[in-house]
Amino acid sequence: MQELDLTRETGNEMAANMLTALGDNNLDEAEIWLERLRELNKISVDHPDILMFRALIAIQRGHATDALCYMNSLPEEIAPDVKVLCMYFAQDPMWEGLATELAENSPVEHIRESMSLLIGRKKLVN
Amino acid sequence: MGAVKDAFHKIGEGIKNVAQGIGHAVEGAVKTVGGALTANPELLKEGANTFKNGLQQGISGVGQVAGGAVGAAIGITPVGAAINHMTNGAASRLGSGIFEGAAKTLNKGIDGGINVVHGLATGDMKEVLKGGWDVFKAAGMTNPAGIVMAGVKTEAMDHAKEGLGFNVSEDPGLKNAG
Repeated sequence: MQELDLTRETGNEMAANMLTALGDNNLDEAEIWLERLRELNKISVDHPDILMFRALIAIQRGHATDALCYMNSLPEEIAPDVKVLCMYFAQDPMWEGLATELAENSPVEHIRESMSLLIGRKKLVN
Repeated sequence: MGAVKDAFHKIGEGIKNVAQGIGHAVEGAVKTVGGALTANPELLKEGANTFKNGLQQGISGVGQVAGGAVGAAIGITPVGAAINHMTNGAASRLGSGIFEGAAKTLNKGIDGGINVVHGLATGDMKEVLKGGWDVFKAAGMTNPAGIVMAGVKTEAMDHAKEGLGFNVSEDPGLKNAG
């Protein structure tokens, strides 16, 4: 019990460190924190939440096309929102169509919301 | 500064604020989770539903705090808002270890059932592209990399990454795109 409690606190610290590293454009460091979070949570490198940051790091490195190729190789139901983000930065003209489709029909609420934001149908509320 | 680079500069500043937001806001959620899992009798006897509701409330709080900070930092550009929304949710879940539905079981499904992406799991794009350019073609593109990579430091192109990275392939089109 106590161990799990500490793990959660560690996870939050790791997430904060990863985001800070991303924000500072320290991508190698961000990748290390992401890997630690993945190990902590015992999830796949292809878990949607891991893919989100892998893609973001790749895009920032200028590897949006590689990231998109990778996403295209995965089953289409895995992180379609991350795929759209890769398409956007890879200048794939199909990004908007897929984003619209997901904004309207994705069964996952946070995907509908993020895609609605991306296509400008919804504004971020402060 | 190119448009993409400029967008990331702004988003980067926003992401830092997300981290600061999580640092403060998650504290409440952690106390809720920790209290239940450390056999806090007051929480345990309220039953699973109360525990679940408390958890959801905590996560929602993180989102609100982090989202507000980022919104203020990056403005309301659509892609910035979308990335904020996506990173905020993913970071909260990874940090708390709380995932939606059966998402955490994805590991078994991916590792066990998708042989075609075995090489991808290690980020080895050479392995992925060994069979030709089918995957790349599936992206529906020719070579937009030159556009995307403009403004990004070129040495990154030669920085071979392992583990979680997406390696740049040996294709000269990609190698020279930066």
